Amino acid sequence: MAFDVKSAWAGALTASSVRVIADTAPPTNGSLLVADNEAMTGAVTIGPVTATINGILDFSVTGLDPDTQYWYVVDAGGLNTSYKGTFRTHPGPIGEPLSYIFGAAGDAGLVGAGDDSYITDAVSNNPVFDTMRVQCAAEGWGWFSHLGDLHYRNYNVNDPALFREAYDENHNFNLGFNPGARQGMFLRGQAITYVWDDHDFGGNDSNRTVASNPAANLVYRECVPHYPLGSGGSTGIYQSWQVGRVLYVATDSRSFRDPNSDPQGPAKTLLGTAQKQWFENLLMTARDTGAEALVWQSSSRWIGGTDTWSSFEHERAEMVQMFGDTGWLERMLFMTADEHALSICSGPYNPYGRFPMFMFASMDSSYGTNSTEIYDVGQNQGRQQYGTMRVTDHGHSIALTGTGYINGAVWQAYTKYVHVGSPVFALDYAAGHISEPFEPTDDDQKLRNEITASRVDGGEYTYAKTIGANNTGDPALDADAAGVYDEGLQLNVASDAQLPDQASWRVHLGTVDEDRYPTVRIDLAANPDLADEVTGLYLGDRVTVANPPLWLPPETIELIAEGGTETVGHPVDWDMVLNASPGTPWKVAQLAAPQILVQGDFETDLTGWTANNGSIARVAAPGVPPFGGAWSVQITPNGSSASGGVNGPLTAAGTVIPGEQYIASCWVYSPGGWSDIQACVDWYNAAGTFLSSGLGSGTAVPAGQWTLLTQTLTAPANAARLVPRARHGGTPAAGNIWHADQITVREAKATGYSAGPDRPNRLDTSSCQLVTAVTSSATSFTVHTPLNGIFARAPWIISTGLASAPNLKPTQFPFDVRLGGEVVRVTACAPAVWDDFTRTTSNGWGTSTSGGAWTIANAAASDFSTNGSAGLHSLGSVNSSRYTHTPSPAADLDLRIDCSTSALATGGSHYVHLLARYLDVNNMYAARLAFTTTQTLQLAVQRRLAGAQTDLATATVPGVHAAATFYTIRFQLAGSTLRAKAWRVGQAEPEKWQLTATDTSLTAAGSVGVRSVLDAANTNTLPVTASYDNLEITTPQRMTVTRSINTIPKAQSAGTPLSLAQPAHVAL
Amino acid sequence: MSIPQWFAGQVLMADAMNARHPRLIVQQNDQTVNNSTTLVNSEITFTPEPNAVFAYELFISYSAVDTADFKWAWNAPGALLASFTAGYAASAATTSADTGSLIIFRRPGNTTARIAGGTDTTSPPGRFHSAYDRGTFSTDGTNSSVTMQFAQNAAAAVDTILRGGNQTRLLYWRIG
Repeated sequence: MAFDVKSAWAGALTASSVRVIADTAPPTNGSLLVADNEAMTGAVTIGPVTATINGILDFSVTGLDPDTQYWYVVDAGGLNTSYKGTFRTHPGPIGEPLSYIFGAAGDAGLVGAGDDSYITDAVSNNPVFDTMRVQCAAEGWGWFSHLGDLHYRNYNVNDPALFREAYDENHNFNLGFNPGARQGMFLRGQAITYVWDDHDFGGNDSNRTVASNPAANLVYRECVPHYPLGSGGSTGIYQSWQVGRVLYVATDSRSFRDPNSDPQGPAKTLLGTAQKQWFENLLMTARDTGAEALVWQSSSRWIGGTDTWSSFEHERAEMVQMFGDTGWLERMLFMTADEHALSICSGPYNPYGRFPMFMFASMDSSYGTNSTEIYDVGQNQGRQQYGTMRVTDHGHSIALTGTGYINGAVWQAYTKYVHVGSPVFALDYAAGHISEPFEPTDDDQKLRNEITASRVDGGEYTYAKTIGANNTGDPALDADAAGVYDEGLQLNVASDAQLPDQASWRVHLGTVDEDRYPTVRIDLAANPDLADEVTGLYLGDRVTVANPPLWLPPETIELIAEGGTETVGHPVDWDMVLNASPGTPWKVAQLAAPQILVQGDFETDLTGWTANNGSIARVAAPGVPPFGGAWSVQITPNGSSASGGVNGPLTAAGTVIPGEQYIASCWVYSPGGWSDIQACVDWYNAAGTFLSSGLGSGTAVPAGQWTLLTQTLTAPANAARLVPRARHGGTPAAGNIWHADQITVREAKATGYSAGPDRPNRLDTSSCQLVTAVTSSATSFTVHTPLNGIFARAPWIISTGLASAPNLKPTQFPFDVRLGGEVVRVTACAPAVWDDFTRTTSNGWGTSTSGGAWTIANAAASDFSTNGSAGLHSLGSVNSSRYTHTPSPAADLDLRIDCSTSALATGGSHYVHLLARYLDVNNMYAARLAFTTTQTLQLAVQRRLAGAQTDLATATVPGVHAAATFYTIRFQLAGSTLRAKAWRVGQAEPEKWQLTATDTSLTAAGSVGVRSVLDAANTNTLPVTASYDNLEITTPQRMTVTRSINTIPKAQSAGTPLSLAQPAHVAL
Repeated sequence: MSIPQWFAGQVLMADAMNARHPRLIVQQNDQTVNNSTTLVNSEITFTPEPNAVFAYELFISYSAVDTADFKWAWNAPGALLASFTAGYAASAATTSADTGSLIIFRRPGNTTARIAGGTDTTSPPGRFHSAYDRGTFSTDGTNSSVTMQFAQNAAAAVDTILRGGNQTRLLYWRIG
C-alpha cells in the first residue's frame, strides 16, 4: 500500500466524463485507474499526470458510459485502495428526459448547540456522513451538492497553505492520512459539486474585501473537482451543469459580495456584475440544450437575516426580474444551507419571486431557533440533517422532489412541478398508421350547451351558449341552434367564483362544432416503430392525424387521448384502439414566444457551415464543454486575413423582420486565448442578396476555457434572412486555432414569424366579412368590419399604412383566416384607401399611396398639387369648389383626413369637406368643417343631391381655428346613418360622434375625396390654400392572401364571414 | 357587445379586450360662461355602452370669481349616476389660491348642481382650482350620451371658466 495519497474526490460529472483530483504528499506523479466494478477488474488507466508543487493530481476522465457506476483508485507508485472512490455517471444525454436523485447539504464543523462531540478543530467527523454514504449507495445518488460551509475554520488571511490544509483535514479529519474519516469516505462515495459560503471562504459573514479572497479562490481551483468556472479569471467559483432537462447553477456568494452593512442601493451587489451577466446569458441560452427546469444553488439565503439576500434588496429584485424576463421564474427552485436547519418553502410564502426554497442543513453545526415563518412546509434546526432532490421527468412535466432527512429519517418533503408541455403523438393516415374503420361520428352524445355547476355546500352557476354553433336556441329558427342539452354538475372547488368558468369551459368542450372520432385504431403491426410512442402516451395527450381520407376535410384532425385498449393477437393484427375526443377546443390562448432561427451543434456533420478566410473541421469538443454534445467546429485561420471564422446556413425568407432584434450567441474555446471573437450575423434580403453584416463587437476569450459570447443585433431595412457567424478578428496566425459550438441566433422577442400564422395567439375581430365576391384564385380581398350598433369594432392589423395608425403591426404578419371553409393566409393588409401625400406633383394629385388615382374636378388642373407632405387646393376665387376624389371600395366605410387652410377667414368662411359616396360634383355626402371669420369651427353633415345641397346636421366643434393648423375630420357611413366628428390634430379624438344624420338618397360606393371652397363673402387675399393629409379608410381593408392553405379552393361570395382560422380560447 | 366577465372557452376578441380599457375624455379647450346660471354642455361627453355599469372619476379644473362661483351637473338621460363630489363652498376665501375654505361633500343626483366656489375677485379669473366627482353609473338599454354641464352658480357679469388642455378630464371604465 502506498501512503502518498491523502485525498481523492470526483466532480465535474457528465454522462461520459468526470474529473478526479487527488492530493499526494510528498508530491508524487501518478495515474488513475477507472473501472466499472469495485474489484477494478479491467480498469483503464488515465495518465500518468504530473503532480503540482503542492502534490495535486488532476485527472480528466472521458469516454465513460452513461448511468454507470465507476470506481477509481490513484496509482502513485502503488495502488492506494484506501482512498478508492466511486461515482455514477449522469443517466443520459443533456436535453433528454432523465430521472435521478442527488444529495445535498451544507454546514459541518461548528460547535455549540446539540451534540458537537464529533467536531475537532472546526472539522466534522459526524456519523451522519456514514448515514448519508449508505443512503447514497442505496438510492443511487447521482452526486452530492455541498451547499457551503465545508468547515468552520474562518481563515481570513491570504494564506493558500491554510486552505490546502483545510481541504486535506476535511478529508482526513485533521490527520495527515486517515482514510477512515467519515467525511472523507462520504466525499469519495459519489461525485460532488461544491461552492463555499462564509466560514470556508473568509470568516463569518465575509465578503469580497476579506484578505483571504485570493487564497480561497486559488486553492479552490487547485483542489476542488469543479465544472468550468464562469468567471474565466482568478476570482469567482460560479459554475453550471445540466442533467437531462434540468439546469443547475451554483453561484458564488462571497467573492464579489459587498459588505452586508453597506447601505441598500441599486449599486450594491452580492454576485457582482460579471457573475450576473454570466447567469443571464446562461438562462437565455439554456433552452438551446433542452433545459426546462432550473435549480439555483446559492450559499446565501434568499430571505431573512443580514447575511442573506435581504441585505441586497435591489439586486434581489433585479434577479427576480431576470428570471422572469428569461422565462424561468415559474420553472425554478432555490437550494441553500447556511441557517443550520432543514427548511422548505413551497413558494407562495416567498414574496420575492414565489419560487420554492429548500434549505438542507446542518450536517453538523450549532443551531438556533426557527427564524421565520416563510417556510410553510416546515423548519427544523439541528444537526445530522441533509436532503435529497429527486428529479422525475415525466415528459409532460418535471417533478423536483426535495426531501429533508434527520439522520436517515424523512422529515418533510415537497415537490415542485415544472410543466414542460405536452408531447404530440402525430399519426398519418396516408402513411398507413390508422386501421379501418376510421369514421367520424356526427352525434350528440357529448353535446352540452347548458351546464349548471354547483359547489358542495355552496352556490351554483348556469352557463348557456346562446349564440354560435350548437347553441341552445330552437333549431327551427336558428340554423346554428341545437336545442337545450343541459347537465348539472357538483364540483369540489374552493370558491363560488370558480363556478362560471367551470360551467363555461364544459359548455365550450360540449359544443365543439366538428365530428367526433370516438375510436382511432393505431396499426402497430404495420408500424411497430410507433409502439414506443404509444406506450409513452398519457391520458389527455394530444393526438393528430394528418392526411385524413379523401372523403374527410383535408385538415389535420386534432384529438385528445381519453383511453384505449391494446389487443395483441395474431402478428398481423396488433392494434391500439384509442378512445378519443376532439382536440381543437384545447388549443387555448397562448402568448407567442421567441424562437431560435438557426443553431449549429455539429454533433453529426458540418452540413451548411462554411469556412471564412480559413478552414473548418468537425472535431471532438476540447476540455469539458459546459453544454451538451461532444463535437465542435474547429476554425483554423488562414494566417493572413484580418477576420474569418465559420458561417452558417442562410435562413428561410421571412425568418428575419426589419427593425426586430436578434440574439447571436456561441460557445468558443481558444487553446491559447484570443483577443477578438464574436457571435454575429450577416443580413440578407428575401431574394438572398447580401445586405450588410451585423458584427457588434469582439470579445477577448481566455485561454483553454469554453466561453459564451452573446450579442443583440438589430435587423436592417429589407432584411428577411440571415447567416449566423462565429467570427474572429485581429489577424490571427494559422496556429491560433479555436473552436465554436452551439452557434445560435434567436429572436429577442416574439415576431410574426415566431407567433406563426395558425396558432391561438392572436385577437380576432368580432365580425368581419367580405365586401365583394372573389374567385377561387383571387389574391386580394376587400374586407369590412362593420359597426356594432353605434360602436365601432376593431379592424385587422395592417402591414402598411399611415405611420400614425395604431393598428400598424407589420412584424406580426402573416396570419391565417377562415371563410366559407377555406383557410387563406393573410400576407399583407392595408386600409382600402390611404394617402400620406409624401410625393410632389403638380396639375393634380397623382396616385394615392394605396394605389388609387386621384381625379380632379371643377377647376383648372393648376389648382391641384402635392408638396411632399400634403395635397393642396389652391383657392384663387371665392364661391368656386375644387374637388379631388379616388374610387371607394364600398358604400359603408369609416374614413378620416387632416385638413387646414393657410389663413384665418375674413369676410366669409373657409370650407373643407371630406366626401363619401361621391358620384359627381352634384351628388355626394360630405362631412364639412367651416373655419369661420370668428375662428369658430362649424361641422356639418351634408347631402348634395342633383346639385342641391342640404345640411343634414350641424354642430360647433370646440376650439379656435388657427391658420395652417390641421384638424381631423372623421366621417362614418353605415347604410343610411352618417356620423361625423372633428378635432384638432394632436388633441384626443372626441369620444362621441358630434353629428349623426340619416339619409337614404345615395347608396352607391362612388368615390371618396375632398372639396374646398371659400364662402362667397370671403375677403382673404387669394389664393387661400387648403391642405389635406393622412387620408385613411380604416375599414374596409384590403388583404393580400395566399389561397387554399387547407387545400380547399373555393370562390367566396360577398358578405361571407371571415375570422381567425385558429381562434384563441381563454383557458380554464 | 363586449362583456366584462371572461369565461373559460370564450374566444379572445380585440373588441372585448379594448372594452376593458379605461377611457380618458379630455376637455381640450377653455370654455367660458358669463352672467348665466344655465348649464351648458362641456367637452366631457360620451356615449357609454347600454345595459352596463361603469366607474368614473371626473377631475375638474376651473377658475371663477367669488361673486359667480362655478357649478356642474350631468346630463345623462340614459344613465343613473351614483356621484360622490367635493368642491369649495360658494363664497370661498379670496385671499389667494392657497387659502383654505369650506368644502362641500355631497352625494348628489344626476342633475343636482354641485357647487365649486371661486376665489378670484376680478374677471377674467386666473386662479386654478379643482373639484372632484367620482362614483359609478349604470346605463339603460338606449344608446344615450352622458355629458358634463357647467354654469355660474350665481349670475354675474364676470367670466367663469372650465379649464381645458391638460386639465379637466374624465376617466371611466366598465365594471359590469
